[in-house]
Amino acid sequence: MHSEEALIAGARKLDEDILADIYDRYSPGLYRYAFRMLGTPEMAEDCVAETFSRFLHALHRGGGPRQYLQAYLYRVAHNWVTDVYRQNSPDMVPLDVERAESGGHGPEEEVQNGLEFDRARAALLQLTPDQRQVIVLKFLEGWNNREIAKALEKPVGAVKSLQHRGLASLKRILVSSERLA
Amino acid sequence: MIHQDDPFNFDPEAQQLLEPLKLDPKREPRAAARGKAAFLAEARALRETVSPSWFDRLMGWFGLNHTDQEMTLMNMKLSGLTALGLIAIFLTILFGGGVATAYAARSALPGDALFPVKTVLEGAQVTFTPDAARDAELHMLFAERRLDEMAALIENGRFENLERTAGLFESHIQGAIRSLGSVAAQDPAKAEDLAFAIAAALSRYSRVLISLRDAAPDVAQTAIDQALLASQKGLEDEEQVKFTGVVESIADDVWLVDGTSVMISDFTEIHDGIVVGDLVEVRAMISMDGALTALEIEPSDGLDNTNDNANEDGAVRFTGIVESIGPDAWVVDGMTIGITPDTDIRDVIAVGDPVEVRAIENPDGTLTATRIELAKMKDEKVRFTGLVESIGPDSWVVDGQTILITPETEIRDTIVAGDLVEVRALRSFDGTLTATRIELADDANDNLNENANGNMNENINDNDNMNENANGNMNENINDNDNMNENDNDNDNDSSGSGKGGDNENSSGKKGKDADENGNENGD
Repeated sequence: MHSEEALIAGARKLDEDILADIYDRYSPGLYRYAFRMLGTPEMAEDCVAETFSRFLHALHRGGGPRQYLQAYLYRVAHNWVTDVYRQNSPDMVPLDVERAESGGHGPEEEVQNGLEFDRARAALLQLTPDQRQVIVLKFLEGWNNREIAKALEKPVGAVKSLQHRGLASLKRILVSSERLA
Repeated sequence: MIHQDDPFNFDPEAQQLLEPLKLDPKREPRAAARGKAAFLAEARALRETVSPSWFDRLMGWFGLNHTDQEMTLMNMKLSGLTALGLIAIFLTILFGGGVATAYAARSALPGDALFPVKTVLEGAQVTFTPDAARDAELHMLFAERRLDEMAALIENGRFENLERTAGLFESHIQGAIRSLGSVAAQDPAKAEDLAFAIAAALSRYSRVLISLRDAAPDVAQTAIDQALLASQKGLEDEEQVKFTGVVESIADDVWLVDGTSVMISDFTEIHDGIVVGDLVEVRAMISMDGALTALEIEPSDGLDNTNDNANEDGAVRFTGIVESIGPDAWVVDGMTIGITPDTDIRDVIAVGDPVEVRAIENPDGTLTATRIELAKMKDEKVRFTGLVESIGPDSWVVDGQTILITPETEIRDTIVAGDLVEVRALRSFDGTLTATRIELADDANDNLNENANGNMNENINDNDNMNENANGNMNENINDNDNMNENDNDNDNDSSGSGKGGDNENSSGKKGKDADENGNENGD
């Protein structure tokens, strides 16, 4: 198993085996992250493809990650997602429930899950991009503060602050939308 | 990845709120395989191309990747040569520029009779030199000269040739980059060095152009902007980072922030008053070798770098007249506000003064002031069209309104009573109008544009105050517009903490791009 640094070194040389290893290792997580943010398999695949492509071009230009590969990839993906939402209004495509299996539920339950998914996602999208990334990486992907700090290129203190304010906003949004629902 | 010992991971309410999102999507295996194959294929293709890093970027920005521009401005000038010009070229070749005409020409400004000779000379030097690297260097040298000339033109108040000089500047930049392409084909390592040097020069030019633009009157702006765009296009780099940290050391050429070395260059903007120990926000470029060069260093308020500020969680802000001042509480516009030792009272305030209050709402509904300051009574900018009724030395009457005239008032045309004029003025808080500019009104469309834009700006200001979080995105857009159009949103931007007009960057750092997309145009 290669360390992140070894992977980066190999990636810089555009070594095919290393790149394949990187894709295998990180694309599933990125896909899941993108799907949760964007809601459809197509967009999630787009995000993954674009992330890795940008990664390649950055390496080719002499840029790219210096030390932290995973954080870098997630940052690129996050920027892409943010751009998507900047260009389109946050009327998102509703979740394609059939394709997102949450474990053998009946059809009514799946529809309900879909609605809750959309509501949670809509709330998430009202946060600022940085808050959103902290919340998602923390509570959905299970990263710790240090790892998130690397991905955002901010100090841990800022991550905590973002988490705190993001959660406060989320609660406010979701609680008030529940009242309306 | 989940660490049990991290206390922040256990926020049950948060987990519950986000539970619906924890769907684990099954990725379609064929799509995954296709993605991987495409990725590896792209890597293969990139491996096979020469990797010049920096200059690839520069070439791309100038559109020189696929279509080569054969006709530069220089070539076009050569084709329109006068006899004098031809002679000058040959003399230069023969005597290497030691000719009296050539010397005299070197100090000529565009518009002077000798200037065409000068540019032709420079064209001669470039065209007849076979070495592409030398070409690139020469182009940069000439670009620099054009820059000096632009500065001189502005100083001498001669603007008619400014645009042409800017065009020449741009063509030299393009020439340098094109020559760089040739170098890369022969000697990639040398090309990288050159590219670096060009990038450094471009950033220097940007800085010079920016300061020129600030000093130059409106009429020079487009020319300077054109040149600025040319040099900045070569510079804008996706590989920008932004981070916050504590300043550990400060030197002329490098700072240490949170353990990271950040290089300082000519184009680094460092805000005033930062000392070791301060928390700062650094925006920097990553160069090829991974080193950081700061673009901007500014004090950080420790909050995240967005428009979020204290207007949340029960914080209120309002303006009003002070009715009473007591040791524990004040009354402002009928509202009682608690005062504590932590209340930041920023000015000397007396009963009757208009103040701006920031306070937090306590659980029992009462207010406690966090900050009180004198309300800034900025003069309001007004603009209107009307008939001149009377003209006096100190004031005019236009459409029944008295407008004060001062030495600063710019009266742009010869105007007599009865003319239709457009007036720009400042209205002070007591209603007095002081004219900044009066000119003959062109047509009625001006008013239409102004009103429409004015309304939009005002509405959005109001929304800002009420709903900052919800309108986060909108704030960003509008702040960027503000920078371009200098409208009166400054008040709100300034007092919203991190919402400084110029610093509302989005997460991918493409500030310039946002400004273009919004492309706000006022009647101005």
